[in-house]
Amino acid sequence: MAVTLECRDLGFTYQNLPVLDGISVQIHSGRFCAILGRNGSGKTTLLHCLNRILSPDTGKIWVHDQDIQAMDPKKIAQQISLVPQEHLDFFPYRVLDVVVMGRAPYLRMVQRPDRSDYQLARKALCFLNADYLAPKNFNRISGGERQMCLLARAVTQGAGIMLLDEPTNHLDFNNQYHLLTAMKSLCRSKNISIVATLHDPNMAALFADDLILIKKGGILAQGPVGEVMTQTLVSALYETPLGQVSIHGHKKLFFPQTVLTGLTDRIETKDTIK
Amino acid sequence: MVRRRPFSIKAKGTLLALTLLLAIVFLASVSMGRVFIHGADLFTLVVNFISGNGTPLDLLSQELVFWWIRVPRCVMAILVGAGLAISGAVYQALFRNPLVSPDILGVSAGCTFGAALGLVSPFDSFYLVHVMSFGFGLAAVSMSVALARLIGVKAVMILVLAGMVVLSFFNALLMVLKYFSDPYEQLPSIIFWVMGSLSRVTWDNVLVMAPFTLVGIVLFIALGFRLNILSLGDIQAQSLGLSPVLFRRLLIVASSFMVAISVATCGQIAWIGLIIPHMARAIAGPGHERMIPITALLGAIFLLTADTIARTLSTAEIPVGIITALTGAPVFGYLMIKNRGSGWL
Amino acid sequence: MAQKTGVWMSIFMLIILGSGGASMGQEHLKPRMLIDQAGRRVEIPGVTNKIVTTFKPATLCVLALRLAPRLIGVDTSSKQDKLSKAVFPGITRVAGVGNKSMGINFETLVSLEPDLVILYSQKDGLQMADRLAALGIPAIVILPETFETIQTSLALIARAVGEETPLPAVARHMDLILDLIRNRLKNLPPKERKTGYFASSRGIFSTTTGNMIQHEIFTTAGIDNVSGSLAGYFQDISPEQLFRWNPDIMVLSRHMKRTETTRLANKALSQVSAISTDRVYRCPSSLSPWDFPSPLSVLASLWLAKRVYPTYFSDIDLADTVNDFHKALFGKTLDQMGGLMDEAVQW
Repeated sequence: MAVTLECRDLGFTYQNLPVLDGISVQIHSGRFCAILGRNGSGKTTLLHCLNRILSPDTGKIWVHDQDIQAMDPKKIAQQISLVPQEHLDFFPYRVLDVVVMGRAPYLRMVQRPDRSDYQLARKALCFLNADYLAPKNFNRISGGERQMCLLARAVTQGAGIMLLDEPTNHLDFNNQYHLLTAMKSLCRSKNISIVATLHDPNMAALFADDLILIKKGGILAQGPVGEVMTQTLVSALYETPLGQVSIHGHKKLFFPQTVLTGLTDRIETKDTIK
Repeated sequence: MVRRRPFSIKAKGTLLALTLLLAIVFLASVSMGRVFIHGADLFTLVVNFISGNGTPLDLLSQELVFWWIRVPRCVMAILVGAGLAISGAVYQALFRNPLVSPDILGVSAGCTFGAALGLVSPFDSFYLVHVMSFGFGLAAVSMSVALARLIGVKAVMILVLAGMVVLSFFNALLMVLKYFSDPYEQLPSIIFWVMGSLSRVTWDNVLVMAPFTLVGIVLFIALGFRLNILSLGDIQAQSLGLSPVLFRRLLIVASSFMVAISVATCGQIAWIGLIIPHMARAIAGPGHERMIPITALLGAIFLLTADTIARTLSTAEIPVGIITALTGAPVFGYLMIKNRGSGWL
Repeated sequence: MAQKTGVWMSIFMLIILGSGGASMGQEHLKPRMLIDQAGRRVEIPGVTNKIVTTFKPATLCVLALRLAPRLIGVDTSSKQDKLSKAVFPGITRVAGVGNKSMGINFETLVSLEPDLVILYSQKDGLQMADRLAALGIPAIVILPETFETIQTSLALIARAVGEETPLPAVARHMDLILDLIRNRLKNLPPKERKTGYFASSRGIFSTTTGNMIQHEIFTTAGIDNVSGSLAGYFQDISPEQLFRWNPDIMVLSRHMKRTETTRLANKALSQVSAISTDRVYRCPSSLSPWDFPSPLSVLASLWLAKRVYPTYFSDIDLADTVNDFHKALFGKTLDQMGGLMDEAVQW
């Protein structure tokens, strides 16, 4: 299990407020790593530090044992890709044109994508069963379809590490799982390391191989999902007593204790939104 | 799987058709004017020029009108039209906003103020006005960029706001200058200058303008694909290997040079930077590698046509800005209606 | 005998009182009603010792009528005007009220407590006149745009200040010059007539129109104005149009910047008749522009006529005539005021 991406002692402050402190993580090849944490815990900041969109104040980051600070953005982009949350673009590009932008790190400044680049883009869409989207207007397809296209773009980018920022937000219920399945299969079939921030621990439980739990800018725990996904740790992460439900024998899902004890018809006044 | 060529035949066909149209419009424009030149004489003039023969005496005055008044003016219309149009396209990509025109960082306001300052100064140099205009145009852009950096927030919106501040500042300074200038001696030449016009263009102006514009056009066409990436926003652009800050700086500098030299030579000509990119997108799609060459051609055709009308229709010249606005505004409205579903706006 | 003496005494008294009425006049002026050039009825109650002008031609008219000492407010740019300072050095100490193009400061104007305000009908002149009337300040609107209307303006101002002569001396001097030109040129054969082009202070390619005074200056001087068919305020033309008109002479506005004149060196214009025969002139004088509406504008016609048709004016000494005219109007000759014709153009 090779370590593809590693950071040590990462720290980041924003306008003199500490957002991340003392973060050290290791990402392994071919594994799906989920970052869990509450809103504002620093998940997205960590993600953006990992491919140097943000520059951390302290700490070092290595990609395949190369210091990321010494690399130029193109080289970084060839190793690490980013799938942002689905968005509405301003220009009505064709889906295929959006996906082929993934080839940018391999092109010189004044070069433009050629036939082989477009073929790679088509292949990526095919892999995700989305090639019917190729000629369509990116702004006119559904949210789930847009997210698939952005995923295809990351695939086209051909990087060994893929970062995803809350990819299931704004997606329909069924599309959320469709996307996570696609991500997992990418992991396995193309041996890509996936690092995704998720807001739902149960998704992590179902799909992730590794977990990083971020609380208030620091790491609460990290490691394989089997070890880290415990009732104690997840409860501590969300500061709510959680109960677990086992499915398929070894997988565990978590829900607030009050919900599980069946007292859902009576709302406890002492339960507050945190 | 259908094979799709990156620069499709349709796109190349459009490019060719527009180039042809530009050539036709150019030929028509140089044949038209307040001084009537017979078609056969035109032909003779061109042939003599190419072959290097002297001009017969009876054609001497036509030669002067043709080669020294009309041709430089038409060439300048092409350069300014193309330059302003692609500057607009680049700014719309940079700022991810369809309502942006090249004036947004204050370059035109700075140029106009610089020219006015040159016009009221006691120094009598002919080039002073142009030099000061150009200088202040670039100064205005630098101020906008510096102000945005000072504010520090990364969003591109801050650049727009900083640009508005600088623009208003220079417009106010211009008003102060107009207020203090002598209403009989200085103010009239300022007013005359502010209204954009190609009527005073000479070959000297063309020789200065051409390198800036041609370099700019070549640069922006070459960087077309990168502009697509940049238009996604900084985070995505960087994750795709681009350095958005550096790239943006390069584009702003190149574009500002082009716009500043244009305004310093001919004054402000409105609407071209705003609507021509939209027209090009309607024809060629939003991919910049396709639409920037088409923007340049459309801008050239549009301004050349407008200017020919402006100088030929009546004895007195119609300010070309009136024609660009009267045709540009309805066309823009029509394009907005036509494209309302595309997720464009 | 005593009866006759009585009669003579009465006549003598009447004469004295009558003339005294004119000169002591300021204390005993009867109210007068007049109609200004905008058609407004204005009543001027009594004395007019405090006059305010709001634009330069009005100031020049007031100076030409020898009413300078009564000025308590002028348009700001007149305070630095060379002619005004030469005629009436005290003008620099007179309050400035703003100017026509950028706005008159109404408060300043009213605070001066004028007896008479002279306005122009453009911009908000009419509105301002009505506001002043409502405040009890007599305001007249003048429109000095042609020789005739300049004379009317002079007569109007003269009547407003209580002078009863049908035509002020200034207007009569203007008529003398105009009659001189007309008489000399009445037998000018049509094929000898020349064409002319006037370039305004805005630039070489900004020209006058048929409605403006420069057109009249040309036509009075027997010159056909090539841009006479245009209408309105100064109009822009293209170099090609200038080429097409091919005027025999060109007159540049006094106020045109010298750098602008270098455009005449453009090779494209080298074949224009006026330029190739070196008949481009800057309108005199260095003290005050004759191409600008004022009583001095008639001199522009005389100067131009003499330049273009010298044989018809061979016995007229331009310098003397100009000096005499200035002396008649302002009490000093052009030379005494340090002015020059300065008509040469370099390019």
